[in-house]
Amino acid sequence: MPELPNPVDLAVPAFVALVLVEMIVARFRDRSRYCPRDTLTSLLLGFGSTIAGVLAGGLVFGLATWVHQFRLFDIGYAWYWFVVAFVLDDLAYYVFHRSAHRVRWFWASHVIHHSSQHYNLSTALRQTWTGFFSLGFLFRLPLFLIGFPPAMIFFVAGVNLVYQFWIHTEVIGRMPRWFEAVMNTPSHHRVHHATNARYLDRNYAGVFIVWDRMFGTFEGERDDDRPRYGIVHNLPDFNVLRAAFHEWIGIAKDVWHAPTWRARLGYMWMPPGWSHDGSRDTSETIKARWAERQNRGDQWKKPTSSSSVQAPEAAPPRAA
Amino acid sequence: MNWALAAGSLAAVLTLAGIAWLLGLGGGGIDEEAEAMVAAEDAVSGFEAVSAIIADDRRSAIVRGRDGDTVQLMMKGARVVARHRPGA
Repeated sequence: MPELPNPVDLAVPAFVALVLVEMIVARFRDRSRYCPRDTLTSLLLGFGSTIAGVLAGGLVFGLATWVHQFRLFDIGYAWYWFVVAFVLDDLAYYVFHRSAHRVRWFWASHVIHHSSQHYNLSTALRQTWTGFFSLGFLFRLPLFLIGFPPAMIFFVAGVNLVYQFWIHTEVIGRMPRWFEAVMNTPSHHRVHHATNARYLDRNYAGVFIVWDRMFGTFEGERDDDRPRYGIVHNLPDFNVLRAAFHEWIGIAKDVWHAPTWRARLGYMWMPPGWSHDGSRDTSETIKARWAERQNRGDQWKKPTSSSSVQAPEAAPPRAA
Repeated sequence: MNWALAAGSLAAVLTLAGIAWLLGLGGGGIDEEAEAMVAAEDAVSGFEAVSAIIADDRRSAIVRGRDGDTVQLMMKGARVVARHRPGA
């Protein structure tokens, strides 16, 4: 078995340098793209996630190795198997990511990444501390059953994560049309991070946006509906622990107070916002209410701002 | 990850946050009633704003809705957070 490097470790210096460059760009274009306390929270969550990953990584690798002994095929380390593994791993990521938005148990871990109201490269580093606890690693187990070596999957998953770093920015408008058609881009991923009703639960892709186009979850970014970032109920402060655990605490409270076992299970496994008495909003109810108001045509405003109250800038330009 | 990388990463975290502060990034505020009304409607699904009052320091606002409910807006760094209070 070859020794494969951890692509994320190798990329850390580039992450730091690019965040610094983006901050300097923000200094001259729009200072509100960054907020020091938000940045500190994002980076501390990223640091904590790395520590959590090291602690849990051995267990996940051990489980992957155990599953791999039941593999259907013997797959070696030829270069083309890395390519196949990268594509299939990205499909597994799509399934995981979609579940992370549609099942509250997985959302409780993933919400950390969406809890910033900013969208910049530091947001990319705002990662979960509870990924192992949430069992998110289960989504990649089929790849080991097929026969891909665990080391290969860990490597391509790292490359996938590194790719997703650069798409967390407002500095880049749109990439060339051919690239936007196939790859996940800053424009596509801004939609994913947006709380605008039109954009909720869209664009789950990691690297290849084709998965969203294939499975009906794609939504293009519109210049007349600029993304507003964060979550439906934004956090009141920059507390790192609140960001890391608030949804888990919410689940525990809801399960504790639920009137039936059916409701208890619902609070864990139904979509975020589900409630046993229908008193809360899910993305479906928010979208339906928004669509109804659009049909009524009684909007007195035209939504344009990405920062809720700041004056909007011109639409991002298309890259050359 | 080894200890050196962990220590280096933590140092980078603190350095970057410090640089963001030194560059004067952030800011923002609620300037006009119309902005507050847009922000409240954007933040609370189904809320229909009819009027707004902005605090003197532009760091908070209260927006009254058509149904007698209100949305309280508060600046959180450079962004706004909203809290919906149903009408009586």
